[in-house]
Amino acid sequence: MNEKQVEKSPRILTLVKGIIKENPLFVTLLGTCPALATTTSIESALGMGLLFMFVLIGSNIVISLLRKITPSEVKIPVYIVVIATFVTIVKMFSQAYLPELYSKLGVFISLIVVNCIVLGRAEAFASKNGVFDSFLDAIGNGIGYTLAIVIIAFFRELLGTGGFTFGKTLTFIPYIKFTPLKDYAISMFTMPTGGFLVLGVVLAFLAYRTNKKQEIEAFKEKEARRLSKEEAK
Amino acid sequence: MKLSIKKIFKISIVLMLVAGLSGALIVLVNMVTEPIIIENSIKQENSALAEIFDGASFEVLDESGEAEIKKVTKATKNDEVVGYVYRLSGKNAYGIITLLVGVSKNGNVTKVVFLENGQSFASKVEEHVNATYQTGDVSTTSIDNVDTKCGATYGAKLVKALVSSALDHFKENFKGGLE
Repeated sequence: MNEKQVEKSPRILTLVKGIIKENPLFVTLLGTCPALATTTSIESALGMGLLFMFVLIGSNIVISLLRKITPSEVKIPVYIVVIATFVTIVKMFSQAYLPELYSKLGVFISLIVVNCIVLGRAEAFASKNGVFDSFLDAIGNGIGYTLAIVIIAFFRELLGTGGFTFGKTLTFIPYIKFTPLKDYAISMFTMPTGGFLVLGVVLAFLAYRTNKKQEIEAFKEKEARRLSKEEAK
Repeated sequence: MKLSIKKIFKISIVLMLVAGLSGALIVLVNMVTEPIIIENSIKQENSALAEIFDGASFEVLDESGEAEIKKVTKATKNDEVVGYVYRLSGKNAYGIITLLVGVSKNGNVTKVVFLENGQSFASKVEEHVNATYQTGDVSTTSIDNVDTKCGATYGAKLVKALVSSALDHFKENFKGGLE
């Protein structure tokens, strides 16, 4: 590995860790309220994810830029003002250019202000790191969160409606309705109960995978120790 | 912890700077998006009017916007009054609701269309409205019997209050299709 690659790797790590290893929803369990409320369809989840990512990128960049002049006594109010500004901007843009998405997400666009992930990344990362790193962190966490809510929405829409509909909320996509399992749809999955159930099952699956991985690693470690002991004998 | 004058001054400057920049950015975006939002809202209202009284022509009677009734529109078909459409707006702790209420010349609610539904349980309120007010049975005399228990009671109560205002206005001003 050359010197340039060594220098690059922490930045790639900053970008990637928010997607899987430190996924804000599946690992740190932050932002669960909109994850349950806006995941009745893939389209609204994707829309919410993109708006959320825009706010996260904007606030991370600005907070990183202001980090050296922000007095520690007022850093939280400053972060909130910055985040609220980006949420207001996102709200106005979506109302103007994506009115269907705006009316579908309703109050949950405004509620991005109080999303723990945005304030969490501002406090834990952007306030301590440079602009480019903060940008990468925001991209990583934004993709991670969007991916997580789209996964939940995939199962909820499929089980709740028996298929998928596109082009209804994000009107720039051509309208497609594909519901082959309509007769077997369980409408409970489009309700909050379904959201909790799907989130619970996905979290259980991820926990199972993590535990299995740890068990294998522990077993390998144990084996390696046993072998080295035998060799020593 | 006691802060020095210099520190207080620095904090004030930073807060002023952040607030000023945020305000300026919002003003700038508002200047760009406001005309498009207004245009969208006009389009939305026109299509809602057509949904309530299909094929009718509309004439605005009152746009004073006092209290919760923001606009009253008369719907006519072949020079005959078919009903009135009320634009109403109200809010509670769960958000703002703006809707159009169509009242037929006989005094029955023909349709309720949401223009803005900022309630936390927006879809529940809409489900309730679809099940209750779109049947053509709700009138001044029967609105008291509308049950608001629907999983979003506060939103449903707000809708009921708005529809009641429209019916009261109709009763006072146009009963029998007369202006």
